[in-house]
Order: sequence, then structure tokens, then C-alpha cells
Amino acid sequence: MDSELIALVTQGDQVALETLYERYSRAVYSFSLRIVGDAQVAEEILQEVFVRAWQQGGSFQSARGSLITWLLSITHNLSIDEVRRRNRRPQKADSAEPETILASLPDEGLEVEEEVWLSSLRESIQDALQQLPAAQREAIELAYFQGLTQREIADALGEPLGTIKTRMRLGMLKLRDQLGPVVSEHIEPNEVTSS
Amino acid sequence: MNQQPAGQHNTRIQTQTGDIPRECRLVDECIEEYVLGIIDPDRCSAIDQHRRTCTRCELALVSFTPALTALALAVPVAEPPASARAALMSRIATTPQRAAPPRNVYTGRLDTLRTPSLPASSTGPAAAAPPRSPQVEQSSWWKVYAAPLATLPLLLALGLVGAWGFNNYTKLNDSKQAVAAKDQQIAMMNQQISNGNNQGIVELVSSPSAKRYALYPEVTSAADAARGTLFADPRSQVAAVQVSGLATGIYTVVVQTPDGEMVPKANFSVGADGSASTLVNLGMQVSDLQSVHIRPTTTVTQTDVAVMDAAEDVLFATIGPDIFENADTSPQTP
Repeated sequence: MDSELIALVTQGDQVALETLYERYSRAVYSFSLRIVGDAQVAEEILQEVFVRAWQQGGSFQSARGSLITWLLSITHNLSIDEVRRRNRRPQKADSAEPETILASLPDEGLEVEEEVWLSSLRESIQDALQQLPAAQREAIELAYFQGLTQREIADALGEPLGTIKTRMRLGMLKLRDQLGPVVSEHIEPNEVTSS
Repeated sequence: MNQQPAGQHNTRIQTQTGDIPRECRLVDECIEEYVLGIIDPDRCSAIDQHRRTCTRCELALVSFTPALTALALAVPVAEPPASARAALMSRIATTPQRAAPPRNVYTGRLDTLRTPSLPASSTGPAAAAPPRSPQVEQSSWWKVYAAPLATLPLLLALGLVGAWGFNNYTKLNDSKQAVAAKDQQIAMMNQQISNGNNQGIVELVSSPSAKRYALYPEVTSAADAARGTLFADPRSQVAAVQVSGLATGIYTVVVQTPDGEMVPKANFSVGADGSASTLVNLGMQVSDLQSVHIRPTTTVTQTDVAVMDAAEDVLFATIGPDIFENADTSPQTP
């Protein structure tokens, strides 16, 4: 159980931390790399996420959400902060067609035990994302993975601010309704974001 | 599950605007900005505070968490470098945890642990001596006091010896206490030095303003696992070095000055796990240096450029833009 492992981590158990690292380092690293676009910076953030888990594991409450959600929330905050600190994009906004990044989920290299549940989850996520209109996916992508505000997205895409706000809202509502049950089934119920 | 039916959220968010509190309206108006992390700090703080006391808004915000987790997990899978784990554990070894477990304190009845008090001293008059015989006092008073008087020198000698012994005992005790105090002081100083060193490393490593330089192996094929990072404080001459994947031994941090001189700055030991951290006084601002090198200590005996051959490096860094400044120029690894 993740909650038992993080409890051991808070007691100074480095082996427990290594177990968590083994379990979630790929997810954390991949997510950070997707945002910052640089392997070395992503590695720094990967370290920082687990150092914070080491230092602040006591602030994690298993009753309020899964550990992977907590770790990914820290990863998102650190990665977006890094992108904003650099004040420039790590990659071209249209370099890989944002909607295709979310829609094309690789399933290779999944022989690791940790990836089994993730592989199953990814298939469900892919199905849900393919039902989302491309314009809505793009707006969400630019906000979540590049930290752009609605105004910045509107400027970048040459669309009115209201249009972007509507796309983002409709897209998030659809994702919530489609992915909520899927993710909760694969991970844990009672998740609470720490954003 | 604390998630409300999806349709219920959808309807509420889109239709309720008139008779709900202002803070709830704020959540409804910018919920997608908040959960995606792109809301401005002021409104973010307002919602952070409001959701703690409003179940309605807390549930609405929580309902988006699975979708966000899904987005985070949907990215292409990338394998972190093999050295990342060793580097993390090296960092963990020098990183204190913030919430220390409370110390065990005896909470029982303290009076049960006390030494029983001595009985109170008698406050009454001393026991009365037997009444002296008036006859003895008058006729042979010297016989009565002769024996005690004869023992007086002996008692005096004994007293002197006792006083001397007591004095020595006191001095010895004082010396023991002084030695113990010094030992404790030395232990505290050592602890402070150790803590200070570790704390300094932690502060530098976690400082957002620290310049970071990756230390690479000179011969890549021979030391693939060797990695390191130099964290330098741009406002001082202090830096921290973290290494991993090195062979057990003593290593020296050598800096190359603007004149090309190779100057050893600090030694550190690498244990069986191949990792280590140390603080280094660079002697000048890091931006003034040409490069930083990590070398086995046995090869560093003098500041002779000829002796300080670059081939002896196990790790080195050329001082240029730091990791973050250099980030955009690095190839992306999907």
C-alpha cells in the first residue's frame, strides 16, 4: 500500500522511498519531461519531487487521495514553475500537434510490472481523449502542459478570450465525466487535488 | 467516492449564478483555470481558502482530480537515467526530514522518582549532657581533660589529612566535570560542524538561485555511471558538489582559475554506494572559474598545470551557462 510506504518514509525509511521511486519515477519523470522538454531539468525535478516526499511525506493524507496524484501534483507545480521561470517555451507550441500528443499513447516497453496498470489505464484514457474535439484538447494541452493562461492561449491561437474559456471549460467537463470513473477505478477513489 | 454525479456538477456550474455566495461564484467562474493551475495568485489564494470551508466547492474541485491525473499519466513514457536513483539517494542521505518524531517523555507521577527526603533535623535543644559532678570539677579537673587534650594533635593531624584528601577529591571531581564538559563541548562542536555542512549543502541544493553545473566523466565509456552536479551560490564563493557512481576512495575538487592554474580546494570521501556530497570554498565566484574537476586525491599533490593533467579527471564541468540556462539548447528526449 502506498499509504503504508509513505508512512515509513516519514519515519526515515530510505528503502521505502526507493520502493516508491521504483514504482512512480517513470510517471513523474515522463510527466515532467513532457512539460519542461529537457531531460536534465526533468531529472532535477524528478529528484526534487522525491526529496519533497521525503521531507514532507507527513503532509500526504491517504484519506484525501492517492499518492500518485499527490506526486504528480508536485511534479506539475515544479515543472510549470520552471517553465515560467525560464519564461519561454521548452518546445514549439505546435511542434507535435498538442492534440496528437495526448491521443497517441505509446504502449511499448511496458514489461515492467509498474506499467501493467498504467497500460490498461492509458487505453481507457486514449478512448476518452479521442472523443474530445481537437480544439478543446488543444486549449487544455496548452494550459496544463505549458502553463499558458487563457489570455496567452487566445493570443497564441488568434482566438477571442471567450472562445478559449468556453473550449477549456467544455473540454474539462467532458474529461471529468469521461475520465473520472476510469481513473478512480484504476487508482483510488476519494482523490483530492492539491493544486 | 466523494464525487457527485457528473451531470449534477455540469448543471450546477452552468446555471447557478444568482443566489450563491460570491466565493462560490468565483469557483464556478474560473474552476477550469484553477484546476489546470493557470489562475492568477490572488484568485487562487481566495479559492484555496474558500474550499476549506465550503463542501459544495470542495466537491466540485475534487471532481476534476481524476481527469488531471489521467492527463499527467497520458504522456509518452520516458525512462529516467539510471544514475538518477543513486543521485536521489545521495541527496536523501544529507536531507533532514522536517517533521521529527516527538521525543518520548515520562509522563507518570514524578514524585515516585524522587529520592526520599531526609528526616527533618531536630530543632529542639541538644541532648542534655549528664550533670557534672561538682567534686570532680574542683579536685582533679586536669585528669578529666588530659586524655582528650592528648588526642588533640592526633585529631588535628587527622583533620589535616582529611582536609587534604577532601581538597584533592574536590579537585579531582572538578577536573572530571571539566573534562566531561569539554568532551560535551567538542561533541557539540563536531555536531554543529556536521549539521552546518549538511545544512549548507541542503540549502545550496534546494536554492532556486543556485547555479547548477553538470559534472561529466572525462572518459564516457569508462565511467558511464559517474555523474555529478555542482551547485554554486552566485552571491558567495561557496559551492556544493554531489557525485554518484564513483569508485570508493578519496577525491579532490580542483578548480581552474582564470589564469589556467589548477588549484585543489577540498577533499571528500566516496563510500561503498559510490556517492558523496561536500561543501567547497571555491576561492572566487564560480562565474570567474574556467572549469571544475573531480580527481582521485592521490594524483593531486601540487598546483602544477603539468601534473594536473585533465586525463586524470573522473568528472569535470566547464563553467558556462548553468543547467537551466542551457536547458533549451539540449536535445529533447521524448
